[in-house]
Amino acid sequence: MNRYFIQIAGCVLLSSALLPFQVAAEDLEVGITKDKQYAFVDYDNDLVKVQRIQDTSHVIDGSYAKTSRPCPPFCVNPIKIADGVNTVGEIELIKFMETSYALGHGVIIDARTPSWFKKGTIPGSVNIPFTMFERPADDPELAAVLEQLGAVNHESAGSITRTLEKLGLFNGDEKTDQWDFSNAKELLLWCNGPWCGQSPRAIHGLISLGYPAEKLMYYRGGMQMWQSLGFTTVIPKAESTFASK
Amino acid sequence: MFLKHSSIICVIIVWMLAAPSFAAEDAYLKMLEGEAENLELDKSSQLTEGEQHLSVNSRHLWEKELSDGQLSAGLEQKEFEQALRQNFYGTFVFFDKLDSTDKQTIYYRYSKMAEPDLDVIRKDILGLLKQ
Repeated sequence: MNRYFIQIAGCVLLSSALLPFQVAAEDLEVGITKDKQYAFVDYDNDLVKVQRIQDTSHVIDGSYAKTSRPCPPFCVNPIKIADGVNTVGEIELIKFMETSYALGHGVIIDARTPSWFKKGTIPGSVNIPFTMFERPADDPELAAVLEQLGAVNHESAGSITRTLEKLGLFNGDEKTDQWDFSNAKELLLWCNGPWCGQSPRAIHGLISLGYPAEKLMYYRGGMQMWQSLGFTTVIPKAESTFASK
Repeated sequence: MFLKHSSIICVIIVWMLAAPSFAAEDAYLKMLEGEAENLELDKSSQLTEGEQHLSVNSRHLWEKELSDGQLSAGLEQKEFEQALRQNFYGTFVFFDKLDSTDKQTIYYRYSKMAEPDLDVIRKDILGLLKQ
């Protein structure tokens, strides 16, 4: 009797000792950080798990394995792209996905032309090609995009109001004659990587339209670094793009 | 007559000055399109459209909750949805995929609970999603 009891007790003890290892075995070998294995992003009404390739012998192939393209125009960008614009890396991008984007306060913009976007993008991104932000300020499509990004048409503001705003009152530093950016969303823009000029041009275009630089982020690593680290990419659905050309 | 000619000359001069920048712009876009034409991503990390659907292990999703707290009883439907969004975002992501009838069903079941049980609510949501 005692012998059976000891055997069962031993079995229970062994199982409980192994349990943590069984749980650990479910962990990913290649995490994002020491404490974070993966993230989720709600994208095109689907839920996408963002993680890294688990094959530790994997070597990147495809176009992002390419080291050299003619410069100009494909020249290397500095870390700081414009005053007030925060340059971010992968961890910050994922944090942005889980907070600002998830709560509807932020937008992740793939600023490449649609022909790049259609071949694969970072989950959560919407395609607004850089050319959109270089259009004339009165362009109706540009106006529609800015409204989607939370800007409010400000042309109806009276001259006294505008004078006071220009003096720095009523959030005047976030308003132009045409747009009120007080409630504009935080934007995180990216393109092909450090050699890509598309998101920097989108950022400069936005700033020239009056979009507050403090609400802009630049993921300089872009698709090049995203792929190099083996992060999840998705083929977008057609409606994710703001412009057809 | 002179005025007509001078305005034509003026247009030509403006065009000649602007043309190189337009040409440079076109060349840049052309190069971009050329690169994009042959673009190939490393497919190892790419999800196909089918994989993007709700194939995610829900156990992991619940880990995304922003709060370990309890869901209060007696909330109006809007407050209930707001509470899910703010404090139980993982649950909310699934809840938000339901159509309005199913959302009302979930809310109805919740409203009948004296002490709302989030696990039961989650199971109900998943059950409706699978239908």
